[in-house]
Amino acid sequence: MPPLDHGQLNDMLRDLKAGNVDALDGILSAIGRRMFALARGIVKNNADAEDVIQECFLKIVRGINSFKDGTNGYAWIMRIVRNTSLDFVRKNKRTATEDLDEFFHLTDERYSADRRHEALLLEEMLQKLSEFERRMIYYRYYLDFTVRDIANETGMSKSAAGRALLSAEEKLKKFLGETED
Amino acid sequence: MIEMIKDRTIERAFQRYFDGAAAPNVDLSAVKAEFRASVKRRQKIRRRLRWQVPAFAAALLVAVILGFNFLPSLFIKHYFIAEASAETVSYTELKEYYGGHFDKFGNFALADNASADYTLYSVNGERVLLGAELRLVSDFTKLRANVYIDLSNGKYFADDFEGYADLGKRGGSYVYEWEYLNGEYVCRAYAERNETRYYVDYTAQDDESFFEFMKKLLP
Repeated sequence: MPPLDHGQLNDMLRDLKAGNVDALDGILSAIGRRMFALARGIVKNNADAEDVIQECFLKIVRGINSFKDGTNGYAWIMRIVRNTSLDFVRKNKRTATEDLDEFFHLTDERYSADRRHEALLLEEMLQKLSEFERRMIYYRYYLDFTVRDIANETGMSKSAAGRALLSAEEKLKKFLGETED
Repeated sequence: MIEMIKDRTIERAFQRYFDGAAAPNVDLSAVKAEFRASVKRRQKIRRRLRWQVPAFAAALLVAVILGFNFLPSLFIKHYFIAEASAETVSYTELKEYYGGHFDKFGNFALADNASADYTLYSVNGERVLLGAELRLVSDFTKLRANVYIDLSNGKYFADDFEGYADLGKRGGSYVYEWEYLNGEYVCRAYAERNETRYYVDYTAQDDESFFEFMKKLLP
């Protein structure tokens, strides 16, 4: 699968705004796995996560006119997925949290067997980070938050958020480097 | 501040991680049906507007002939925000263009825990709308507000705001509605002050700050 192309995803959102219904399939194909991974991380099971994704697509078509051209479409969608997942958990009378201790566990029976080893390593490395560092990585690499978004989310100053992210990245990169050696 | 670039090694690791994950088994047919219906509705509105122009002209002619003088509202030009030209401006530029008229946004421009983005929308080269996207994080709440202020003295109307003037609840000198959505209070409000129209989309974690915000916003 080619790497995520933000420009292409924004083109799809622009198409959708123009009324092209086929853009929905494009979006599902481009980032469906990431949406699913995020939803599953919060709602904790595959069937519920799929319901959440369905709901997210409804929200996307209902809110597409509020999507501003030139802004980050990926982050816009992931924000919808995150909020919808948290809401799903609340509606089911469970405590809505983004418990990152249990978050990065995609490697269930449906995970691609030939990638499982590599993925387990990444999950293991993420577990080596502190909860705070994992959260920084989650904001940046799952949700595509900017440093400004992270600062807004956490109440930190922008420079403090930038430093915290950098430090978490350095640490994770070091762990990843060690596994390659 | 220059935005930090993602680390390539980590990004690649996550890309491989996501690629191996299961694809969701989602049936989009219901979503597509709803979307098609909404596109049709939108097209219908546009078609109706196209028909209204000659109808207005005919009504005007009749009014002139009959000597009436009650039709200014028929000359309101309709548009959608997505179709208007958008120009991002700073708070300083806003002050330059409109003097102290938008001083109320000053706190958002200066506070450490707040941020604001301003967009001026134009139709046919005429500035018709100011959009202010405001965000604030405090110990008590986290809020986002999109405030739209009509700059056309009612000559133009963004169809995005259809129904705002008829919102059900009355909050002093404005009307509003709210719902609890995704763990946040989502409010819409409409107000008119000195022939200026305000449209507000407001989201916050608490249900009190909205009223405080409206008090501060409206002159």
